[in-house]
Amino acid sequence: MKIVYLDSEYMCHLEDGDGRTEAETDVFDDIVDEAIPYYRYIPIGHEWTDEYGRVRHGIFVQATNSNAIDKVTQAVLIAEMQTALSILGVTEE
Amino acid sequence: MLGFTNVGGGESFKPTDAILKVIAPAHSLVTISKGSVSKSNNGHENEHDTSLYDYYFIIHQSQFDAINPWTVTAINGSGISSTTVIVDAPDDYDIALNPRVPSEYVAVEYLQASGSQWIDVDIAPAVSFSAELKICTTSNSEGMLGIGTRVGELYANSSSKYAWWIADGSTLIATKTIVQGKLIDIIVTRDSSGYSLTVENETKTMSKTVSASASMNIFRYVGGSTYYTKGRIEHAKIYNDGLLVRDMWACYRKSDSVAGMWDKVNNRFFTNNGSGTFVVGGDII
Repeated sequence: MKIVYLDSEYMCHLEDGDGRTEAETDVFDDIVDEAIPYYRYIPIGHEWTDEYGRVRHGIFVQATNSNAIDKVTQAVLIAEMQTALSILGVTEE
Repeated sequence: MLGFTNVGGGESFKPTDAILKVIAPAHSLVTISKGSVSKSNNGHENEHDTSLYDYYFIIHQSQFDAINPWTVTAINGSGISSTTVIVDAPDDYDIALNPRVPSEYVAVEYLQASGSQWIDVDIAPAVSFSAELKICTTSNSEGMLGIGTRVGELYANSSSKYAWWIADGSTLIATKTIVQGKLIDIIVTRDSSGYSLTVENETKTMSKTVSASASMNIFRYVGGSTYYTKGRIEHAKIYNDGLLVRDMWACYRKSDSVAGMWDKVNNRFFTNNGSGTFVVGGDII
């Protein structure tokens, strides 16, 4: 389970702030923290209407920028791998 | 908003005009018409992504009409799609003529499973079957397409290669290293003589006379244990004996935002058979 903070557009934040609502959920358990701000999470029982008048009904989780998510995720995974290699004493030739 | 080129009708834009952007499959013939006025893209198109293009039309202020809509039609290899739109102000209007799903649904870039969500395709493969997938893992895992121990499963192995595996140990392993999260084209086929696995246009084959059949699942494989996928899927086409029996596209239902896959062959919406909820990619609009 992770705690995220939702703004008025149900975009996720890792930190609390003005107008944000705390939400605890497992939908991001498999997602690196650095990617979470690129998701919209509408909890069950909530609704969000976009600028075109289209309604999304909770529970609804959507990647709002898949390219950014993938880049951030790759960067995190590469950093973790380099850390692991460093611990193992593996150096670049 | 301007920055595009290739406007249907060959007209020039004024700030008092409206822009109608039609998103349709690549290389469509797109036409807008109202009364005696008709405009076609005349071959003009702008790439939206690898499969969809943007077709722009200018609606002049003198053509604004709050009562009578424009009819927008796209003709392409997938058939004919049509809708209507009222243009009555100098705004940007986006129209999606996406034949992937009906108007009650919204097509998305992908469904993403965390290892708890899966879909029962509700069909078993014939002796001769093929599965054409746009799919990937987000972490090496099994069950991307699972069809029982005697038919096999598509999975990402511990060496980060996509592979087709049968319980007797027979395996087809692709050469290319997986890029986690990158949707790619994968085709699995079987006929009376054996199996083939095609990953991004590289094909591996094996001879094998197996006629077994079992229920087909996306993101779940039932073998000695049950395995689930961490991955994404955009679409799945299943052919039995050369007949298209499933043509499934990632989407969510507008009425309740439930994510799933729309099957164009049977006009059926497949939802999550597991727990939790799919994460969806961006709207295809």
